[in-house]
Amino acid sequence: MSERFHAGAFEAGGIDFAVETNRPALAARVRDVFRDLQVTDPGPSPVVFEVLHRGTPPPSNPWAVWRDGELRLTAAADSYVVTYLLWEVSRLMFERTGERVHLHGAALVHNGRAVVLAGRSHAGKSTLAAWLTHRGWGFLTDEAALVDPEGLIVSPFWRPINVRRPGPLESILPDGLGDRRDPEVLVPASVIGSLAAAAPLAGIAFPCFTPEVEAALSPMSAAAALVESTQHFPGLVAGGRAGFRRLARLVQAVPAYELRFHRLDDAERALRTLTGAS
Amino acid sequence: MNDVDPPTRHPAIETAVLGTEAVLYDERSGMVHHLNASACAIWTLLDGRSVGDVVAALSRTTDVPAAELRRDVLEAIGNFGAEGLLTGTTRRSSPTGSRKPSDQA
Repeated sequence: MSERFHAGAFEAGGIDFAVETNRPALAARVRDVFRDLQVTDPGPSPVVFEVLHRGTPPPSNPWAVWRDGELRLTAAADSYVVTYLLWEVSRLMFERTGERVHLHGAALVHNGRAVVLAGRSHAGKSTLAAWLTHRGWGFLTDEAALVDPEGLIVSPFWRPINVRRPGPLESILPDGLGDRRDPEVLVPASVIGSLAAAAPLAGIAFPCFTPEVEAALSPMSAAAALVESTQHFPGLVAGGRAGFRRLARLVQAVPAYELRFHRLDDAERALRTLTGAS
Repeated sequence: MNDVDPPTRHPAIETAVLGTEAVLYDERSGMVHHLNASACAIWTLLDGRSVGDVVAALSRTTDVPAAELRRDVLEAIGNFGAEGLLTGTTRRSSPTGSRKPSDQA
């Protein structure tokens, strides 16, 4: 049996997990990329991910991933395995969301209040999340916003930000972060700004990168916001009517807006108005 | 044209009334439907009463003569039926205003 290396104990949205591997370099990489999720006092029964290299000479996709002994991925390349692990962690959290609403979106805090940026992949969520974090907003998540629909509190999930390259964020990324040839890099939010604790929700914005327009927030009716939110609410499939009711309660309780933007600075200015700051 | 009388909301449909509009969730298909104020007003009356009673109830609340309302009510009920939202109907079309939730996690 090959030697095992413990990458660390982590926590995502209140769920403890650990990562083990048979390669020390991967353990170090996971520890680095997941640094914001690391905990010093883990719970007694964490979910265990094993990320194992399948030997020498290595096949072209040498990595396999297990979750609590169940094989989840059989063949992943070096450049993909940590991204896949992050996906598994996000899925784990989604499965155990409980009564919270899990929106596919970023969440950031300014002036003590949280704004959720819900949207599809490539809508600009992660880019905006990284930029806002760099500009002093507190980071809650870039991908999976956890909202209590009763207390309207957004919980943190400090997963690394998925930054696409080349892109508008190059200037704020520290040197030596990943391989510049990779189309994406996972950036711990604490590298570019501050992490935020749970905060009350001020509003939901649906970002839409629109070339050549001034940034503008357009209010949406609660019904329009609910319809749009269902597109970013994976819990609707699993939660059925109960999930739909939770989502409906949420959108009734907070204002929702469409955010059209071209420049990140302008988007930030517009979003500040949601938190009571100018 | 209404082919279901009395037109009745299918029990698989969850309704969220938000202000004057509504959003429907069909737990059989996962589809969501956005109803404007007029459609919402009609939808909420489809509780087993006859089309005539729906028209009469709307006429009372809107002060519009029943004769003027009847065609719009029948058209809306026909649309609901085409979406499979009423008991005894099945979905026949893929109109705008209906959306399948994303399965992205």
